[in-house]
Amino acid sequence: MRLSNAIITASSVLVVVTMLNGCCMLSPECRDKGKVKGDIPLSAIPAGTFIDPPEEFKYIFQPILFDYDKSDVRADMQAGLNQVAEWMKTHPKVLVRIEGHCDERGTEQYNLALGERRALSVRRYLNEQGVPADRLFTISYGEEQPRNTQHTEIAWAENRRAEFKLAQ
Amino acid sequence: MKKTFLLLILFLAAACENSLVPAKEIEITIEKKIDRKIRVTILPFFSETNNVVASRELYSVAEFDLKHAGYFELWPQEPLPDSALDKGKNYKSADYDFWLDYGTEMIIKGLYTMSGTELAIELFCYDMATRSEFTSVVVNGPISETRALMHKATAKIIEKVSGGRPSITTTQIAFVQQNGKAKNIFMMDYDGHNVRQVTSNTSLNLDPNWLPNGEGIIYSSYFENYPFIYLQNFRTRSMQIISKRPGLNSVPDVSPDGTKIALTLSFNGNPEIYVIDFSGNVIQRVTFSPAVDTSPTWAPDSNTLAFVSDRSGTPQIYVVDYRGGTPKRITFQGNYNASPDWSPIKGSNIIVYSSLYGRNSELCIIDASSGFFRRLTTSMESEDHPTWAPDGIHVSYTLTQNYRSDIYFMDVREEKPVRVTTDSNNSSLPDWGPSLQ
Repeated sequence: MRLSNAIITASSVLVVVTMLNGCCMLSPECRDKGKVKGDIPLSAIPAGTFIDPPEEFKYIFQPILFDYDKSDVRADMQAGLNQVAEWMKTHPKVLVRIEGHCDERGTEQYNLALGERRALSVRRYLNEQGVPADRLFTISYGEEQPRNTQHTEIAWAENRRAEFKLAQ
Repeated sequence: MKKTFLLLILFLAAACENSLVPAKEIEITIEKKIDRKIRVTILPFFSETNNVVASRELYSVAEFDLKHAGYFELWPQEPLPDSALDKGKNYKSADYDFWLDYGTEMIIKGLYTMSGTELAIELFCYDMATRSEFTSVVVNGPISETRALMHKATAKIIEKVSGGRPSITTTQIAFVQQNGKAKNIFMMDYDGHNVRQVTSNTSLNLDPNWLPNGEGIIYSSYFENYPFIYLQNFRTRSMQIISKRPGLNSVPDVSPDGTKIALTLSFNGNPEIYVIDFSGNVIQRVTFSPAVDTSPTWAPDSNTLAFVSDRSGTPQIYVVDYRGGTPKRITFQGNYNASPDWSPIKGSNIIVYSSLYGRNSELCIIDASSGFFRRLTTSMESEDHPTWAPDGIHVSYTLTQNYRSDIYFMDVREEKPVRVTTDSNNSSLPDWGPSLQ
């Protein structure tokens, strides 16, 4: 009797699981997971406040620069990001928010998405170096927060960047 | 109705002689085409109480509305003599012979009455060709809404001429105004008057988008530190959270049927276009590209979307059915095409967008089905972020000159810019609200 109950329970759990999977296959949000290769879903935003890296670690968290209208991590930026990854591995409780920025050229709307993509691209790189994805968060400010407010090639190059903020 | 018909017949007849094209025939196409406009003379409005300030304001509203409606040319071009202006007092008739000599095709005379806090406006519109009254309109309301009342009156005249195409005179434009590091959402009458603040916080509030019923504005805001989507409802005077996912929640665009919202979300690890409902639930993920996908805009059918993607290597405009299908690229000229806005006119395939020419952003319109396009601006300034008016004739946009931005609009047939915001703050990201006549 107990055994058959257990079997019934087990099989209904199985049915429910199958159904959930079934729903999951159908619901667009689930169905699309993994559809774009390399996408790592973002974790829920932590309650803590993200602040500038402490003075003694600032040299590690230097801005990561990007080419015009590009979001891939440049070869000359990889050494800096490797340092960030190593530091994060030795400080396992620290959460990092990557802030993506753009220069003033192009539309505000497109730049918001481009900034986000830059932040996500840095996140992916750090994850590939062994930093768990659930410690890495992103935000985009598009072209809204330039580091250099001049309107020159030099200023633009400085403004196409990702910055880091930390929380525990 | 009969009169409209008669007038149109006469317009058609006249068209053979002097190419007077009936306004009703307006069709926005990619070819640059300036329609023949109706020469209208507006006479000073008559009042027993003769309030100089009110007279001037009512007249200036009527003049601005008719001048920019897309159907009229203010006539004559030179100032009228006092003897002619005096004819406004006799609003019951039109002195046809007198005005025909001036080449005027339509006369508008008006009468307004102020009693207590109430204002009544009556406009009489005479058609020179038929020697008859074309239409007359009456509006009443509080004196505090003088401008809005005149906008209502002109809308009635314009819609009589346009054959039902909505007029812009009673519409509002939502936009973003910068104050230091903060950007807040405001709304104003389409002529730049009556500016009201919608959000007031110290962070970034961006991308306002009207509900099709005009009862609210959806937008993205950083006031909870991250870019989330909110709805400010004017009817309930409340703010509602629409989407608060990790990552980017931005550029919301409400479907013309008012049932769903297209936007950019990155919670899955990349900025993609999604369609969600007003409770924030995902109805459909639309794009599946490792590139940037953003700036969705609905076609009038509430099924088709245009959006920007750099999947080809540069930002270009694509069209897709939100329910599924492969996005089709429609822009091939230039290497930066963005900020699309689909014409609200039923069945229209015309999209206005911005395109980078050298360092300047310029406005273009493109036929999404044929791919033919036309550049609307060629100035030294940068024009960006166009938004269609509900009449499908005008677009509003941001014009940036010397790193200062203002809101402008233009009739896409004429390409003549009209400045709307004139204060010292940077104004940008306009969204033209619905016509609620």
